[in-house]
Amino acid sequence: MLKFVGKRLLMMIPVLLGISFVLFAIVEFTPGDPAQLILGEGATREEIEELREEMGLNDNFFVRYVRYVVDAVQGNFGTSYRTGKSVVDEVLPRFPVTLRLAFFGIAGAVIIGIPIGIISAVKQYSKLDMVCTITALTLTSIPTFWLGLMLMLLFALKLGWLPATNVENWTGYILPCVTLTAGTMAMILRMTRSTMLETIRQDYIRTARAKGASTRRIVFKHALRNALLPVITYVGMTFGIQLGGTVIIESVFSVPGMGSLMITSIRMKDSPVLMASVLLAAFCAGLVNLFVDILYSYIDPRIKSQYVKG
Amino acid sequence: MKKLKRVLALCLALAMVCGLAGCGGGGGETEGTQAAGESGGAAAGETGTDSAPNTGDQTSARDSVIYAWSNEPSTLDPHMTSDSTALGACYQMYDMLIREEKDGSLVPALCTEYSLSEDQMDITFTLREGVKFHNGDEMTADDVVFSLNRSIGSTYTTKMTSAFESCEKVDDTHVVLHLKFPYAAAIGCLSNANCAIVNQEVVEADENWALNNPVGTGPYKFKSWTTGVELQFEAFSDYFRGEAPIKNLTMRTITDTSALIIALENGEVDFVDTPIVSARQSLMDNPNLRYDECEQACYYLIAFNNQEGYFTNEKVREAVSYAVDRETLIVGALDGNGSAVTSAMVPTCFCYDTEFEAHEYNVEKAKELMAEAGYPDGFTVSIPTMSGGTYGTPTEILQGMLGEIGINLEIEYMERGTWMSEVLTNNNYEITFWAVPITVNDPDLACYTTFHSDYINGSGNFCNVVDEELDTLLEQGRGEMDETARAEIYNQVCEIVRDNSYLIPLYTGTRRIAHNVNLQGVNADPVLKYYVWEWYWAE
Amino acid sequence: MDEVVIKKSNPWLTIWHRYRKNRLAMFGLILLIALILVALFAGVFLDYEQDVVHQDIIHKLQWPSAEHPFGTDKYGRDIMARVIWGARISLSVGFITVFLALFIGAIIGAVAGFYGGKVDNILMRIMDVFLAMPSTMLAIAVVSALGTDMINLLIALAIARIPQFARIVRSAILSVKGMDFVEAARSYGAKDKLIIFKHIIPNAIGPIIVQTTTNLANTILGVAGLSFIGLGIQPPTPEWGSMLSEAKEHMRYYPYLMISPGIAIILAVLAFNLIGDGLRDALDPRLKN
Repeated sequence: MLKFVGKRLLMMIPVLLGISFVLFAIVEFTPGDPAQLILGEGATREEIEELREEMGLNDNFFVRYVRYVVDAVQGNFGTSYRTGKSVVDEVLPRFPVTLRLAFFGIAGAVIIGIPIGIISAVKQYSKLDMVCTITALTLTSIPTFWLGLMLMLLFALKLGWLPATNVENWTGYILPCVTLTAGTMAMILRMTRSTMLETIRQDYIRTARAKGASTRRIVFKHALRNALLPVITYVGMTFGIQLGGTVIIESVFSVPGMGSLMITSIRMKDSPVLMASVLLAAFCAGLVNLFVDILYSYIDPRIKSQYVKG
Repeated sequence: MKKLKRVLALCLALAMVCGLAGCGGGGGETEGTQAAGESGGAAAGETGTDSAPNTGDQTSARDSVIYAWSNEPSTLDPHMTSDSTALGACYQMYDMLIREEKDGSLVPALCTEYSLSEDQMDITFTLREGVKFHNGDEMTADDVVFSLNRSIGSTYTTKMTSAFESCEKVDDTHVVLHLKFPYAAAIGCLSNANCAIVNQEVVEADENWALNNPVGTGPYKFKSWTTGVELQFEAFSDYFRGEAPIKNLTMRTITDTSALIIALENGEVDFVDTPIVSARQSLMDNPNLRYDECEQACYYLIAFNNQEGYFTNEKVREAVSYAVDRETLIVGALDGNGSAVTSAMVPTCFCYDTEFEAHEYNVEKAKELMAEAGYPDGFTVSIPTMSGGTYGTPTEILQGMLGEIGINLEIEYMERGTWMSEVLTNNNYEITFWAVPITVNDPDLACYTTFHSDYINGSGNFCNVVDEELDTLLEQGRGEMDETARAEIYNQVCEIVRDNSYLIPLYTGTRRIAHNVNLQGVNADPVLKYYVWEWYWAE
Repeated sequence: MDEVVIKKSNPWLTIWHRYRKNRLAMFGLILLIALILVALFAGVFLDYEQDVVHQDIIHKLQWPSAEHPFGTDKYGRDIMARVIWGARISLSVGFITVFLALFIGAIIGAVAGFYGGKVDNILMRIMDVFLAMPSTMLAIAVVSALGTDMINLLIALAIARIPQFARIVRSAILSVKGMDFVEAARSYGAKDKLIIFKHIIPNAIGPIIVQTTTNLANTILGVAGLSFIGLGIQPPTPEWGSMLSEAKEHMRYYPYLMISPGIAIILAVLAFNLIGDGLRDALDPRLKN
């Protein structure tokens, strides 16, 4: 097991290197000059040129990239062009905010989505199933930013129950989390339903049924465990992605998380912050996926091998 | 056995996830309790959800203010920025030698008096004694000399300090500022936060002093800064004008302009700097809030690149000047809350002539001029701009207006920084929409760098205007001390700009603020100088 | 054995029969056809210059009325005309993006799956790099790098979707590669290209179609999202997301601005989601009743 974990962690290195390279190249092509941004609108061309030289921006692309990687490996991610703070100080306070948002968003989605998905599948073609399916489909079709704004209009403005922005306080997390939950929940619901249906049709379930096992027993004892495996993968993947910041939701609710940090740093050409935050996000996503895989092999090694084959 | 293993694995998984979330939660809570602990009960009450403005005033001991805006300061170093948001925060923390009062008058702040030499080339300041920095140090003549020279040497403050040569210590209570040339706006420039007085020892001790330990003499002491969220300050008890009634000041960033208004209406924040113009009416109608506005020390304009492209042709520029309908622009971009600006002068300046006649809106005339210029069928040109109500909306309206005379504008939205470097620095544009804002109310700051040929190629003269007559007038204007004579000079400047259509002044907007109705002493300010020191809560 | 017989008797017809039984899926199809018709014939009812982009500032921000059923926007333009025209933009951007991604992804996936070994390894590791990046972030970065316009938006969205298609095509190919008929074709001495196009692609088409429809749904959401944060289609082109972005500033006082473009997006996305679901069921032989 340790060997497996070690191997997977090693495999993340080339991916992270690849990401940093791609990003570095994208930033390179982005118009706008960090030196100009730092100096502001009154700056002259000479002043900008001076600062560029000082910052080493005039060196060759590859030289700068290698310098970045070497520094990063030593734990030095540089300082933000925008604020002059060290990148670590910029990124770390943002991470818990996004973590909380992603965690509660996913938790809500799992708690609501999975049970309803199961009921839907067990009572396939019932009215309830129909309602759930349609609701879920509609929810996945709503743009998150639109839903977020509508919720904000309703709960923050018309009813005044919840704050529109402030995440200093737990109440501030409610609206963004609910917005986040809606879409994920719908996906989980649909997925649970379809995998449950698939499992229920499989031979061993039929056998169990033929043996006279009760529906409840079949669902919980046999079908559920197998049906949930792809759902777990999905949950893990989504959680991993959301750890990288839920860009649009964070922008709608002015949440100071990873996503809004990435947007700001892209806009400000603050590449040290951008690089570090994307790398952190990718690293976390990798860890979560690894964790899901480990969980998987514990729950059912047979399934794991089957998936590798497919 | 196998089952046990599985259960264990699941428990482990759960524990890990909870642990992760727990860490996050824990970190946040400590932050939260710290803030609440230090800022006292009243602050804690305010951040709660039930703090609608009408319930808030029951706690008479209210002494905190949450100040909200949609931007975030880039730094707290007053000499290393030209960003108005950063300077807005600096006004709370630092003092200058001179202070601009609400009525626009300039009064001594960290000095007790000042005098100009005969030849108008030196200003001598008598420093105020007993002024303390936040760290307890007393302000010395050395600090003042160090600060002004640091500002003069900085590349960020060129607009404010271009006329200053250097500062020198005379004795422990006197310093002298040498000018490069007689400069009418000198005292005004010294009231800008770019000329703030900092603590020499602190600055020299740490390169990152402004992040780690920003120290000034101002009414508020830096407490903490959570990037992307807020800045926290507390009242400085030894402030030389007396401790501020508002003990805790939070400057919070809410990037979304709609959310900013909703937060104010919801009582989550107490003051909003520059609410969106469309919110004006309902903010005025809201009994829990007070809305205030004043004229902006700024005018908006169509800028041409006079050295390259279609608009080097004077006829084309003139055609554009006849094709714009200022009234429609004001309705469209500002909901009618603005006034037309006909001359290339900031309306808050003393020499602004409200009667100045610009080319009138006349589409037929404009079309004729286009034909004369050789473009009877028009042309297509790209116009770089920034998104949002201030620049994006008027640009889109101009797109419609210039479309009428065959000039097909292709809007190219850019990030602010990109736009600045493309347009202002590299002059890599043909036409754009921009503004001339000033932070010191003097015509020299509105005109000199904008039109003087020394400043072409990216150092302020973004239209690349090269006109000897203008150069001469501008040089006369900055040295002339007599107001009537100056007004005459600047009037001529405006006429030359109009006759050549170097740029087309359009309108001016309003500086807007909105705040909790119980917060007193707050007024809109044309140059965005908000001194929270003056604010207090009604009993 | 059963499968082979059905296939010979025209597999598409069977799928269609199965699809038709699904009421929700049929609703999605009708919705999509309606949207496509609206998009195609928008030009017949509306004049782009006069009805869609012409400004009439005096009549700005009017609440819905008989004259302007969806109200007017901040430039005094009729929102209904813009929402209708927006169908053109959103659908075409959606289709082009997804087919671009599909095309490139399919080539990469096919090459990787067919040749295997080192080629496969390298290509798939590159795909992993792109998959590991937050996709919205990647699209935003690409748009900021290339500049904000429609073509760049297409490219940005397509790039983020290429790896998904490459993966699907690759695994589809791997699953049919070992099958008898491919081996047989190979033993005839058939060319690689012929095998890919004649045998493998048709057999991988099922999952690809499903993935394409779902991707169409989330591409439309993606376009709207990017336009919403100001990185999408440039004005005065009416695009639903950028209409919402414009409306956001005024939503506090003119909430009607948010409604119609929002519903338009939901309907379009819903149509593709319904169709995608229906196709998945229809194409999956295991789910056959």
